[in-house]
Amino acid sequence: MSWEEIISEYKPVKQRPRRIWVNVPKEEVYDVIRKLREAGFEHLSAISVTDWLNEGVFEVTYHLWSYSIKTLLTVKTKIPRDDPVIKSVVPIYGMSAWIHERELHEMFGVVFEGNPDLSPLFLEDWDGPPPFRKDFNWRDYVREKFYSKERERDKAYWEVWLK
Amino acid sequence: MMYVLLALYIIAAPFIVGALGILYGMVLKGIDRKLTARMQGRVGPPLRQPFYDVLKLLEKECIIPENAVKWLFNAAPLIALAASITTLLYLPIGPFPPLFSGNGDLIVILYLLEVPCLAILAGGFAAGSPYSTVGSQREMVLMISCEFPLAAAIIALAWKYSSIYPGLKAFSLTTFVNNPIWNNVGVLGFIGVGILLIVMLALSTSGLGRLPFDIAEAGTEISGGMLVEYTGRNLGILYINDAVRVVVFATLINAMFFPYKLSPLIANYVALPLAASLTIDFLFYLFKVFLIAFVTVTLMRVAFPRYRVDDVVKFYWGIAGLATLAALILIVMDTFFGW
Amino acid sequence: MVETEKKVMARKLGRLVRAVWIFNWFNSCGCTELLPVVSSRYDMERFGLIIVDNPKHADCLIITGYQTIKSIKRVVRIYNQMPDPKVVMALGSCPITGGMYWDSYNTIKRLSDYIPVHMYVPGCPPRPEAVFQAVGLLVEHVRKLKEEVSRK
Repeated sequence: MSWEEIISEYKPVKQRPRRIWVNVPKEEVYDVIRKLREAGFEHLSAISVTDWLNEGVFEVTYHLWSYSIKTLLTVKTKIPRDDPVIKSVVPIYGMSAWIHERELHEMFGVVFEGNPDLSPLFLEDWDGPPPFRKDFNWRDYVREKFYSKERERDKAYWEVWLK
Repeated sequence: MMYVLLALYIIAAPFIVGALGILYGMVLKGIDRKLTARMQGRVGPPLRQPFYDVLKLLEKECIIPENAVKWLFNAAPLIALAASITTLLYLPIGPFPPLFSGNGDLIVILYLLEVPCLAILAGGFAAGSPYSTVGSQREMVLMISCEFPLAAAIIALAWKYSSIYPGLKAFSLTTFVNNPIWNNVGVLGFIGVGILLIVMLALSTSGLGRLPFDIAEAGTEISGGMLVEYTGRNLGILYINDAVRVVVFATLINAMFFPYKLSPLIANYVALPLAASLTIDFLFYLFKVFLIAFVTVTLMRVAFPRYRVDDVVKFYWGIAGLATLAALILIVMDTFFGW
Repeated sequence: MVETEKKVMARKLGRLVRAVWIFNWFNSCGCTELLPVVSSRYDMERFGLIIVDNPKHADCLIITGYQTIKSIKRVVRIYNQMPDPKVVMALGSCPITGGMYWDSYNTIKRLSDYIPVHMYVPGCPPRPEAVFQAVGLLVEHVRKLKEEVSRK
């Protein structure tokens, strides 16, 4: 099957020449990506996650590029925010997918099943919630952790700023 | 009275030669940094900068790692400096003959040139850090690859002398100084000796461990190489050793290829007393050493990037080795056919 | 300080300030205007400062900009490896109060809580002339210290 036939049943949207995005349900996204890889999209540019707080979903986005067809295809899925589990694409795309999923697990808390190693990359000694979530109040967290009430220099942060 | 003077001379002369080596080596280092900076479009440090560097290094704390072999770690810089100054005692300094002279000067010098590298290498292994082990292994590769062209070049010239003057000692530097090589060869031999001169200049760049062959002390790759664990006083002694070796290599090339004096030229026009002619020859020697150091250290450092380890071996065993063999064949043909 | 200690310190600092060797820890955005200082436009080698690649050879540690929790642990290790006497210079406004990242969850706010700092250079990033002024202030301070010691 060519790539147009694979994504035609999901109503693709064409923004510009060479920029197409398509919404796929969560259960079918792994098979769609596997078929797209075989149809010519051999380069995974990035995996990203968007946090829609009002609707209560995480939207996982896979950006695929093809050298032969020269099109950037964006495959989007929605997963529930309370139980963010999705199947990992490491068996399809290898180590580049592993690094992206590791960062997303650390920053958003999304669990990718099948990923060999989900240890944190940037945050050492981290004891708070995943920081990129929109309901994480980073100012309160920073005020608690870094500025103490007893020290003269830090009193301004408690009284005036960081409110 | 004569014996007292002779005893004083024997005791004091090595110190004077050593002091000359150290001071002139540091002056050459300062001039090298200034000229490098000017060639790169900047203003360089003042000419006394190496002296400030060494004085600062002597004030720093000396840190010795816990799992190092302490006696070897502390002795290595001293052995290196002592060997470098000892090599100077076998070389003719300007118009003055070498202090120690014998049958096989050049063979002793050939071995003494390797001892500082071996000492620093042993110190690198004794430091017990993985970076210094890698640096010492690279230095071993460098030394192995430089042995062949160096030995072949020296043997070629000594063989030439032994075939022309069978009565004189072939490996002694006084033979080289009294009979300059360029007067005793024909056209083919001229080309051969020219090739040997270029090979010897390349060998002194690598013997000193300068760009493009500074793979052992590579800064950005293995953060200091063999000198990783050296601080304070030990690093100061290694800095001085680096400066003395420039004078050693330059004096060796000067004695083998350009042992000319300036005073006979001037004595054609003006009658010179002994002290004046010795001074003029000495200053001319200092100028020649500066020129050789400029070509081997400064020009090479500014123009070339660093070689890879296997490319260094290919260069010395491939190109330089073949060039030395070709020069040897040219010299042999020159002797037998007399062209 | 006892008198002889002060004399020894003055002598050591006097020799140090003529040939400061800087360790190559340029890891944040505060170092963007330090690179012309190192290279040929605002040449810093004319004052004797060179860059070394090994904390054991260095006298000066320049912290350029913000440090995260992960990198401040490594900075403390590097500071402990440098031999005495040593100088720490903090570039930019991030080591002073937290700078642009004062409300970030992963950067440290005040560098002096972790290692002793001897000179702060404000700016975001500081201009090359500011770095030279900082070095000049250090030289002035050492000169005054030596005068004071030699007067007694």
